[in-house]
Amino acid sequence: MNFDRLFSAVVVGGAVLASGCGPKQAAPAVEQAAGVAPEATPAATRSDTADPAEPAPEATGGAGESKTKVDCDAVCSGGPDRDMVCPDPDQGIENCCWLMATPHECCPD
Amino acid sequence: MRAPELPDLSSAERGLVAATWAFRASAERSAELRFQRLHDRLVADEIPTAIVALAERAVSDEARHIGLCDSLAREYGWTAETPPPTPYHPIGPSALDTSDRFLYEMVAFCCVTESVNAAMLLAVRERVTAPDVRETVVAILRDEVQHSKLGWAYLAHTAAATDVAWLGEWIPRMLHGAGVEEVFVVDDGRREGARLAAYGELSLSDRIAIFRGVMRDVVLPGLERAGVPCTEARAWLGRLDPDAPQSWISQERMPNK
Repeated sequence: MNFDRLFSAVVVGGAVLASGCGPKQAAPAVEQAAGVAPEATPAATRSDTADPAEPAPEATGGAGESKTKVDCDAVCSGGPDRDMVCPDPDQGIENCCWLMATPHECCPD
Repeated sequence: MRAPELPDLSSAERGLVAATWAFRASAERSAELRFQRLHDRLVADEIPTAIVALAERAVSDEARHIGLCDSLAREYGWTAETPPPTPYHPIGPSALDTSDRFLYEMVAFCCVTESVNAAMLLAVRERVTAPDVRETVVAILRDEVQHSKLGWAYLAHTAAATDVAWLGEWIPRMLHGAGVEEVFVVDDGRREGARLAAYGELSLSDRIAIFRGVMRDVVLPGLERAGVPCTEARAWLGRLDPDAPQSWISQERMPNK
């Protein structure tokens, strides 16, 4: 049996988490619904996963421009690629989009 | 395509399924208590919140799993008293200081035991067709992956600050403590065959194949990636499992890992 995907999920995922991707707990649901932005992720902790050539997400609007149900700029940070950090619907913590089993609706396809 | 018909089990066969889930419930009871202790230590040590959050979540996961496992055991006819939790006391060599013992326990319990658990459940999920067992397996599997990830995250966090190579000599002891020898125990053969596989039971050959796979693909490369040498672990595994393909026992870190 091959468990390469499990390696990616737990070993790589754990290392990314430890390095700062998704380092904060998600805001309570009521706050998210009200569009309160969670505490910003320190840029330094994302530097190893974000492309430094990417413009700041605030300048691009991230993935939020094409999403209408929630204010993605308010609830997510980083991106607009799969390194974007959003509330993980399954885990109740902030997580990188690419690590989510069920992607947040703001995550890019 | 029509799904294969689910075979009816005899009373004795249902008892085997019940025993599997009763034992798992006792392991979940132990895990809940252990995760609570690990969580408290992570908080006291001011470990990053993302890692603490995984541990906090694990405590509540295990409480939920106990209910799921107890319920499934009863459904298959378990009427005996609920088995007590398996041991959950702190583990690790007494010669180590408290920080190193804590790292030892996180690696032994999360990186080793929970990774093996997740791999076993992944394999069960591929085989099981009984809807009630499948539903429980799917619910638990998702969480077990996160419990394993907790250990790997903590190991990566620690390895970023200090040398963790000393763990290498202790990996065989961790494997022994996790009871991996039991994987290779030839039992009475009652769990062999497709009938019980449909209810999530693993045969001896399944267990061995899964164990080899998770050691080869996850545990050993994961440890080596963090800077923990696995030479002694590979030698120990080679003695435990002399029939394993030597290519993976002797394999050093994969280039892509």
